[in-house]
Amino acid sequence: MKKAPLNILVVFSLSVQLSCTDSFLDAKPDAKLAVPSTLEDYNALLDNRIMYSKASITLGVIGADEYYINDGRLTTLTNAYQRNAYTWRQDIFEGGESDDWNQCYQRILYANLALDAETKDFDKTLPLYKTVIGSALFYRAHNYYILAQHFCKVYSPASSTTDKGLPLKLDYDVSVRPKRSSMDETYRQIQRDALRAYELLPEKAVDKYRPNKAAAALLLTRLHMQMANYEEAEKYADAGLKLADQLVDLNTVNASEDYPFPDQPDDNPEILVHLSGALPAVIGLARFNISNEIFSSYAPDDLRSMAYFFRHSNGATVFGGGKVKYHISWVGLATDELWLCRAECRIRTGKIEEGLGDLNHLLKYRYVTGTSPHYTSLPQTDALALVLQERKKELVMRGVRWEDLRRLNRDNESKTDLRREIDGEMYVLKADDPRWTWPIPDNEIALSGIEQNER
Amino acid sequence: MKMFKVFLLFLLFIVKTGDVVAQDRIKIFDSKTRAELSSASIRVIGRGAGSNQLVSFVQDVKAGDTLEISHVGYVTQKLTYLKLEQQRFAVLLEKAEGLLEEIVVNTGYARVPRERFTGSFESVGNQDFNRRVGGTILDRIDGLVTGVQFVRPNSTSASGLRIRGLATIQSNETPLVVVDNFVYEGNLDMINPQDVENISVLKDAAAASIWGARAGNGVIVITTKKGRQDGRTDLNFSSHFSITNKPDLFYSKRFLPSPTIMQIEREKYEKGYYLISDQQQPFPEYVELLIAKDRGEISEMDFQNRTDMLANADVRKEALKYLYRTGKLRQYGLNIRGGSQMVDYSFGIGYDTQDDILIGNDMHRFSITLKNGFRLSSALRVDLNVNYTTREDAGNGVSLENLSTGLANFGLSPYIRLRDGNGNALPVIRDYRRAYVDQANEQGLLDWSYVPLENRWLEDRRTNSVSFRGGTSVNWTPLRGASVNVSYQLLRNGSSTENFYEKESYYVRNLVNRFTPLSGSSPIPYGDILQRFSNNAYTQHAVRVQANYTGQFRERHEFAGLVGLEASDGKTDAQPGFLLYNYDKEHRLGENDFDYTFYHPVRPTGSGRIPSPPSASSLYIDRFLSYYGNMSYTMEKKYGLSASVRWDGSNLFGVKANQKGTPLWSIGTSWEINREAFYPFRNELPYLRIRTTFGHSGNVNKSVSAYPIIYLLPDGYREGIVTADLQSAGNPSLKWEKVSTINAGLDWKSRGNVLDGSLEFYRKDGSDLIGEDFLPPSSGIITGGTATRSNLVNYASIRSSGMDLRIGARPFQGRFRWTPSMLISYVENKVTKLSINESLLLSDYLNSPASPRVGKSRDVLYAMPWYGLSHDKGIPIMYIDGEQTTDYGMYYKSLGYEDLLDVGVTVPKWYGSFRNDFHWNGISMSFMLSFKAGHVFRRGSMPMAGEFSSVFHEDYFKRWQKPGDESTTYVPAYQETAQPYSATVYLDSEVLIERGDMLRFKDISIAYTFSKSPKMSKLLKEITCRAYISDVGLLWTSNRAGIDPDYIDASYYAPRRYALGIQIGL
Repeated sequence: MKKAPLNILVVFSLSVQLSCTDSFLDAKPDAKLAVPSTLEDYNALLDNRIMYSKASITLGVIGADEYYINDGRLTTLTNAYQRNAYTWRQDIFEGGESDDWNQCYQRILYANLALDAETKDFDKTLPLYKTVIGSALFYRAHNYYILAQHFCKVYSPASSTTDKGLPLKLDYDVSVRPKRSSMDETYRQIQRDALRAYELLPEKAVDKYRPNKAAAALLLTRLHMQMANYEEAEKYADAGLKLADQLVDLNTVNASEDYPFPDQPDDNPEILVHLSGALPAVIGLARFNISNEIFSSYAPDDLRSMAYFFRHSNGATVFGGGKVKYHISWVGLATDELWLCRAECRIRTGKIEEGLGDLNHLLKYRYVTGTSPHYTSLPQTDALALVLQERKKELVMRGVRWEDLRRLNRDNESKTDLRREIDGEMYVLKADDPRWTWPIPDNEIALSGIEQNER
Repeated sequence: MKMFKVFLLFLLFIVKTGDVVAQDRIKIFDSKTRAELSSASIRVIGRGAGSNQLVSFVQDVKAGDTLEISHVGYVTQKLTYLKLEQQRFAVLLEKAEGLLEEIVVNTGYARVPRERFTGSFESVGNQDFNRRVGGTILDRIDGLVTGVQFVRPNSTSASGLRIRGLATIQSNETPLVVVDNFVYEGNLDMINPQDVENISVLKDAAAASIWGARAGNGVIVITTKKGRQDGRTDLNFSSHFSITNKPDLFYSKRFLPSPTIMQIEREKYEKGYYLISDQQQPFPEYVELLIAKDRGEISEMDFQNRTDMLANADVRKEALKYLYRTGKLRQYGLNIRGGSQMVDYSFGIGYDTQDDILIGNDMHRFSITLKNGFRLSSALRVDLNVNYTTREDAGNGVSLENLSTGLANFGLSPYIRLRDGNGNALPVIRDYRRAYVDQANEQGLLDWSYVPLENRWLEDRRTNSVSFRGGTSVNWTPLRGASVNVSYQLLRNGSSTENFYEKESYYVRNLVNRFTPLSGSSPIPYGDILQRFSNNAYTQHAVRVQANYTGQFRERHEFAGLVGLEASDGKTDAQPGFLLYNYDKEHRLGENDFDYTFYHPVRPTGSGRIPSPPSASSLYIDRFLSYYGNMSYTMEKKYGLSASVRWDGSNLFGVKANQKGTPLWSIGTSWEINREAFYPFRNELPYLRIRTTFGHSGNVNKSVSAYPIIYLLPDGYREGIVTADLQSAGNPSLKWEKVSTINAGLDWKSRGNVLDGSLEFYRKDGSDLIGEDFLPPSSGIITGGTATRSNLVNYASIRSSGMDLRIGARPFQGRFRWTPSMLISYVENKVTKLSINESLLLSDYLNSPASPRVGKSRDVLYAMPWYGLSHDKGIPIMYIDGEQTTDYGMYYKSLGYEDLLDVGVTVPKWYGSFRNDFHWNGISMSFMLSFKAGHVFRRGSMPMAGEFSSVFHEDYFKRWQKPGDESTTYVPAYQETAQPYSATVYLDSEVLIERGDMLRFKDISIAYTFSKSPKMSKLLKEITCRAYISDVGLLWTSNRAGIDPDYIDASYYAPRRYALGIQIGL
């Protein structure tokens, strides 16, 4: 009799305590924290602002030939890498980190974590599932693509298996530290991801901050053009244009405004996906001057010279033509590039008239109504030169000039040496100079022990 | 069941035995509190050989015997036992002045007599605590406790303290604070120091491990005043007034006189360093003057006059005149305590009001405390307590630093004037160029100037804090020595900050002007603005159930033990604040109906959205669950043994369930040698005790996670989109940090307490420390990235070892008492294990704290070698592979970790205090000197092109000027374009390292107590007047640079404070 109540008490109190222990200590310390488990969680990761802002192309923009800065303005730059990249120095980082490198890999980490959804038990036919996986693959492909244009040599089919590619991180485990892959592996990975993204992404995303099918098509186009597969490239440009071919007629835009384009990406029909970059001080408006060669290449009736540029209060001609208002460094993907890519690919594969047709179509939207040129029956080399010149004019300050220059330097007829004169000194970057490949940041080399680029 | 019976028998056995000690006949009490002192010892002296023994039974005493009655912490009394018939009498013992007055340690779980305690602790009793007039709670224990080091001088929060060095590298280093037996998560400023009865500091494993996983950094136990049970009533009224000197703004070395700065600005201007930008980035006033002169906008004479005016101005003088004042602090307190065995109470009200040394900053604090104890029956006691504190802080002051624009091209202009000769407040350049600001009126805009002296009263920033602490405790004593205690506490802290901007304030005018379009009116109404920031409320429930047992059997064995369980649930709930435009304070009307998504063009350039009301809301939950047990056993009062175990669990997120908790334990022994028969120094050293303890405590790092963790937040720009930050990519193998401590101590007391003290040695090993691994950026974990917690691993061990010595003396104990005391502590730490890649970046070692290395202290300071200045150019000489060079970029890159010099540690290895108390007829005087030694610091200087990044220093005048100067100076020459790394090779070099040894006159205090005397009214019991000066001054320092090592780069050192106080007891 006496024994029972006591035992019951002990058992009862113990069980109460133990069961409490579990749920009591399971409370989330912060209501906003979550171990990602739902598709919405993974999707929220991809909606993070870092995925579309801080696009990492500052080195390419700084290194390309679209602008110059005045004498005396270089030494006042506090940021060493910008000062050094402007003159393509051997060592540019001086021990500092590279935001370009860092931000790309951070986005890749986010994408890799979102791709963890593939290992979970989700209904793979759900539209949200496709969007999550498609977007994550797009981001991974796009960021590896950007990295490859800056930190690897230009793609060369002959040496792609021996040229150094990127360290390819394909899962979110931070303890995995891959070595540099070959160029071939890097490009194949980008291609694989971009292709799957193209298959999975919807034709229309929630808004233009997120990639859609046409954006993936343009990424594939760019990739194949870098690999000199112009037929493949044309295929994807064509597919992209079937999804989105709308252009904005500059006659309908108030080109006299400093920043004439709409506030929101969704209000600009040319935009496929919005990406904007950080604005390094070296190309900030206080120092910027548009390259005279580019600015003088616009015909008098070409509205772009007015829409894309304005006169700064310090007298310089500066860029204001980002496809979203105030975004001086707008580096997203847009339909004008699709038109130009298809034109170039068609010309390069011998379909010259069709190519010129694409070009003529684009220019109709860029010139004062009724004045746009109508190019026809040109020899292939002239047509190619024309389309490349238009590319330079249309895609100015969009971050593609550097990768264009690199791929064009592969062909003898389109080789370009870059020159800069500043403070009485002349700097030259020859077309075959190894400095077309930026060095991998010092801290990456120190901590992961990967191989440095030859410069 | 059988076990239970045995236990009951055991209890009965204990109750029956072990009485009939001397105290049955001779009762000994504290002379003031009338609390019975049960462990006093009574000796018969002068009865020939073999006497001087402890008297156990009163039968042993004969008439005419002289008895010596002593008790730890009390002045020994001698009296003659006159008659045999005198069967019972009472002896009142007076408390000894000095450090040893507290004889009972409050661990927060139990009150343990010192002699049963094997661990290391220190207590600061009420008298010592009140020795400092005014000041904060922590300030009052500075210099009174060994092993407690104020790493941040005059810190008001526990985070500025180290108790016995470091046991962690990157986790929380803050000691745990316990108030009235529960962990206190609030702000210590919310506790009125007048309510504090005493403070214990628990230092080693045996003392602290009872607090478990959070005790690795030591524990500070604060106990507030309780009622008294002796039927008497105390009424105490106190009033303190202190004034703080204006700060010495001329102390800072980072200041150059106006003419020098103007000359520098002129040179920069002529070289084209001031670029006119669309953002209208401001230029210094003198540069504007130069521009105006060059453009012919002002005459040469006008220019000259205004230049002279600037050259003669000194912003520090202006600041002392118009921005700073003599600080005042008034503190009033009323405390009533009383009661009987049945009911007791303590009631206190406190009011503090402070005018900070910065005009516009003030504080008011009001607190009310009530404690009640009820003895419902002989076995049941219930305690209730509530404390309510409100505090208001106004932060409208404009400091010297606030006058700086913070721009690299600008800095703080030394020639800023705040008032002109006619007493008119003057505008100061702030966000835009003066020329741009001046044309605002022409443009139809509001006046755009910033006039600090006027604006100070047009913007009102206030923080209101409220703290409520209430609790109850039920104590049931079913059997003598055995009790069960259930206690509960509710803590609620809340604070909210509100900024009110009058329409005339710069904030409103600037906002309206910025949004005013080229044509049309500003979308922001020109009216007052009221802004409330998020309202943080912290609510904590804590419950404890504990069973205690103390007993004694067969005279020889004493046992005390407790087991318990404790749970706490803390919740921080932050509600979003609001933002009201066009606010009508009188009628409480405001507008917030705006389109916050639209981009308006803003002046001077670009676009912006109307500042939107805050929407951030958050909820944080901290839960702890602990089971613990503690026991001590003493045999023949000679041999002591103590042990404790504890299991702690917390709601760490993303950690596997079995890693949420950690088991911890400790064990300790003590030996009172003086009780041994063979002890030879009974006369000279009647008390000698050795203690040793070993055990584990821990440290909680709530930022660790085994799984990837994301943090959800609304995008804010894209409507309806929720975004996620990756906070941690997860590390599945993380463990809790563990701290194990070995402590060995020796306590002694000479005859009559003339000389007492203790010496302790300890070693504290922190292991499995959690810290950041250096990950390559290709992992996605990047500098400034979101996933900052991903690189956390158990990566290191650290060992702190040291010594604490405390010596007190009472050479005179009569009417004139002199009690000098000295505290000396030594501590050093060393990283003993590191399981990650050591950093390869030199800057990781040159920054402070430096990246850890095995064998080096956590506080190590590295410097680059220094080889002097070159003869021809006066720039630093460096060597690469033995070749002299001045290419600092190449040099810097040629350096490895091995090339750096370990120049010492930044935290003092030796520290302590020397205190002298004098007491004569109610007058007491006390002063304290404190010292710190064995550390170094890096002082600032003027780098070669500091002008261009607004880094200024007095060393500017010691710069190398001409060949030959290199023999008399080490400050490099001016260079217009600084080479990369030219600043670091000088500023981080060994030549700027100074030793930190110093001796400080900490404080002096004089008090006079009128005790109850026939002359005084019957009502009055006691009046104490005190005068006190703190931070008297630095007496000596070893560095040559005139720098107070406690305030290396500060704008000023702690200004001296004078206080007067009166305490009236009824």
